[in-house]
Amino acid sequence: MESYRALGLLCFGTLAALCVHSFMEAPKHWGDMPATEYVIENQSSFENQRIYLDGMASDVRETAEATFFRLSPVHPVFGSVTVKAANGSGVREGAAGVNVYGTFRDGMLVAEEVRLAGLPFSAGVLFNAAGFLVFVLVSLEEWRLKKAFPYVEVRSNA
Amino acid sequence: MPNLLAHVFLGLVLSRLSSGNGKSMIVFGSILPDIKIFVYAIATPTLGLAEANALILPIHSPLGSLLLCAFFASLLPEKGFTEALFFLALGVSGHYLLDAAMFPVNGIEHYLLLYPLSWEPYGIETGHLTDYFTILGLIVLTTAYLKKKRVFPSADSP
Repeated sequence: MESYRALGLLCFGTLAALCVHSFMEAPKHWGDMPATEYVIENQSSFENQRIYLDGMASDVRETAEATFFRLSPVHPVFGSVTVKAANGSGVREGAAGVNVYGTFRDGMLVAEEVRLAGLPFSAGVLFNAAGFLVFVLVSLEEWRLKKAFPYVEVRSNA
Repeated sequence: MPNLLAHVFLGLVLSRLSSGNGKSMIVFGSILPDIKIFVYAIATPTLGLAEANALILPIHSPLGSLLLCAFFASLLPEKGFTEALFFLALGVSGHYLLDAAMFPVNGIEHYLLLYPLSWEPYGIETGHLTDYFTILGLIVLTTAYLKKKRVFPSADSP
């Protein structure tokens, strides 16, 4: 086998070993890591509050992880999410058409779901799909040029 | 954590700024760390959310991504191995630069830059929600890309 192919396989094996190592070790370190949470900056008024991410205690980590995928709809909101509703838990309607579902705990809103009103899917998916499409188009363009001109070096900015 | 579109655009700009011919390689490198999503989607139903998260952690670390780069580069003919490795690593560097510049949205697993040496997250964290920065970054990068200005001209360019 060529040496570079052996090197590639070695690298892949090392990565697999790292994945197993992480699988075994990471849970021991979860408690040391700040995870994801939404926090209301000013508790005296719940209007025009910015929600931002901050460190959180490890005991609510499961909640944050459950929020992981459902946070995607927040991406197309250009700026802060405004929370209009006040105390208690349940749905808070955002001014930018965002519904924040969560619970207040010690003055912090632990968002359990953030969803764009009226959108059945995450608009973040659109960004990602567009990115993947651009990548495919770029690859196809380069492949087409190389096929058309096999003896000419194709430069990215030619 | 910017979306794929932002990563792809940064990859395109990097390929524009460099004089190489590996545009698709650089763009592929710029989205390579996010390949973890595929593993995540497969692993989550069987392992669970937290365990799947622990499993994929090394893939989205600089060391793991470089190992992946070497693996993918080894799939190419030997002549292009070093060049492909360079271009993939360039794209990967751009990915981490962009990720580290943002405040964590999806959890700090993205910022374990020194894994497996350290479980401490590192990031520049230029702002909270990524929305402003993602869109602003897209505009800046697209403008730079469309201007078609080569910063590092190749030896054979006039």
